[in-house]
Amino acid sequence: MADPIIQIKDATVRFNLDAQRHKSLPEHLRGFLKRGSRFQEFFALKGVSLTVNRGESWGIIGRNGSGKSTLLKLVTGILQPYTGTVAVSGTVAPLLELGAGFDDELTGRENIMMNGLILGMTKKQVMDSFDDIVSFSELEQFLDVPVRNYSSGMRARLGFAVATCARADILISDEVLSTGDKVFQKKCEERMQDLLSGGTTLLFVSHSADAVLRVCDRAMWLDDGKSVMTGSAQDVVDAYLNRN
Amino acid sequence: MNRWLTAVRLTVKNGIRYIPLLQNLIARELKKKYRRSVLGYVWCVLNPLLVMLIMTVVFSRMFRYDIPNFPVYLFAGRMMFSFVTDCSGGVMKSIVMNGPLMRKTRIPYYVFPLASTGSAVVNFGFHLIAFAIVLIFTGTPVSWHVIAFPAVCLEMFLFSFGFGLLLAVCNVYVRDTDYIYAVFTTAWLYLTPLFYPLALLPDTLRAVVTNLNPAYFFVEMSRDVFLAHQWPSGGMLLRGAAVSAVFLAIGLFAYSKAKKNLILYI
Repeated sequence: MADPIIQIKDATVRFNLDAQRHKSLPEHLRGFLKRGSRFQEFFALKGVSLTVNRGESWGIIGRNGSGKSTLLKLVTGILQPYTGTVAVSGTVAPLLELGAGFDDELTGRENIMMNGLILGMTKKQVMDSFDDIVSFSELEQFLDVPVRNYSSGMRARLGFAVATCARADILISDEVLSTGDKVFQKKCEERMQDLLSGGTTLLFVSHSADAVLRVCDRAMWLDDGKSVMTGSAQDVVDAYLNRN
Repeated sequence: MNRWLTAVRLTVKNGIRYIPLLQNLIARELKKKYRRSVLGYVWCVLNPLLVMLIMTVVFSRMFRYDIPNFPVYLFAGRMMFSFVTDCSGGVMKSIVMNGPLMRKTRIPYYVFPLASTGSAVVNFGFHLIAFAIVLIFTGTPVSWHVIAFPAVCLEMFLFSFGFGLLLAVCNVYVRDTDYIYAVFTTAWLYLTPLFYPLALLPDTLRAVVTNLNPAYFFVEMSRDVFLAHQWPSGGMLLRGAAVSAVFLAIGLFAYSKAKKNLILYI
């Protein structure tokens, strides 16, 4: 049963806020003259540990800025931990932002191929799931329209359809169900349930406690970059909702 | 050394997966460029031809440098020079431009500079077609020395990629690189004998250009092949090889040093 697919041990993620700020020459000079203030660090995650077994679905909850997205970026491999280790044994389909790889100038059809390739699918895999993607996203009529003319709901539908067809071992979903109408949200949740019963592992970030309870069996509560509580989804959500 | 080799082998093995993506990114550049124009891809060939035509008229009427077969002289030089600046400039922008994508998906960063180089190479192919038309219209014979041309091109591709990669890394940390480079290429354009003969330059400057201007190496060799009907000189080939090896090494070194922290600055 215990078959860890994601192992995060005591991971810390550090950003240098000073480096992120866009500085002009005078600011550079000022910074250079008083050396002390040049390094301003910020820890987005402080010693977080998490072990996810194959086939589990984890909800990540917490307030804005608590480090949820940073945690997902660690698992995706976009960010490296400053200290600690992250071990992921499997392919990851990130849904950090639906249709992140969409190019506005390309048509829906072209974007399906592009986005599939970005997610690590082969050309053949994309072609094979093409019909499935189209029918799931209900965009048959608009396939040859540039994505720039799509509404945010249409984009979200297409992005979700491509990512869930990628058949990755780990599906990462960051608040992706907030766009789209109720019917489509339900459809997405069903698709996630299907994938879960097929053995996919899910990391699910959402501000909707209901959605977490419906989709996830385990959960982690993050606050200010630290893990407050991990356990069964019900317990963690209850504790989170009853916080003062 | 062994660790380094393993890293290279892993990168190559990993990189093979991204070849279809690379092809797609290159095709995207082309598609987007001409999608909404009536003539479409015809512009790829028409545009360099028209620019060449205007420059020929301007330079053969206004300045009389007395260069035999001026259209071919001009086109061969411009084709090489604009590849060097277009390719290195495109590669320079490629990483910063694709920042939003890099922050959300995990694609190895080197895919973008490679895709940018690839589309520059495809564009160069269109320039070659236009060049062939110029050769036909001017009645310039083609000798079998052209078989040396691919080697010249390869040197040029590698140099432009390496140089661009170095600029791309600089551009991530200091965005001013973009603006500085624009000024730099203007100076570079006038320091490369594209529309004037090399002999026009004063002695010291001529020595600098023939020995230190990489773009000139490639311009000169293309003229050897297409205009003088002779092999590129050994000295030039060697200079081209040296400059491409050095810049490729510097570019790759800068990239490998920076890639871990790149995401924090994009």
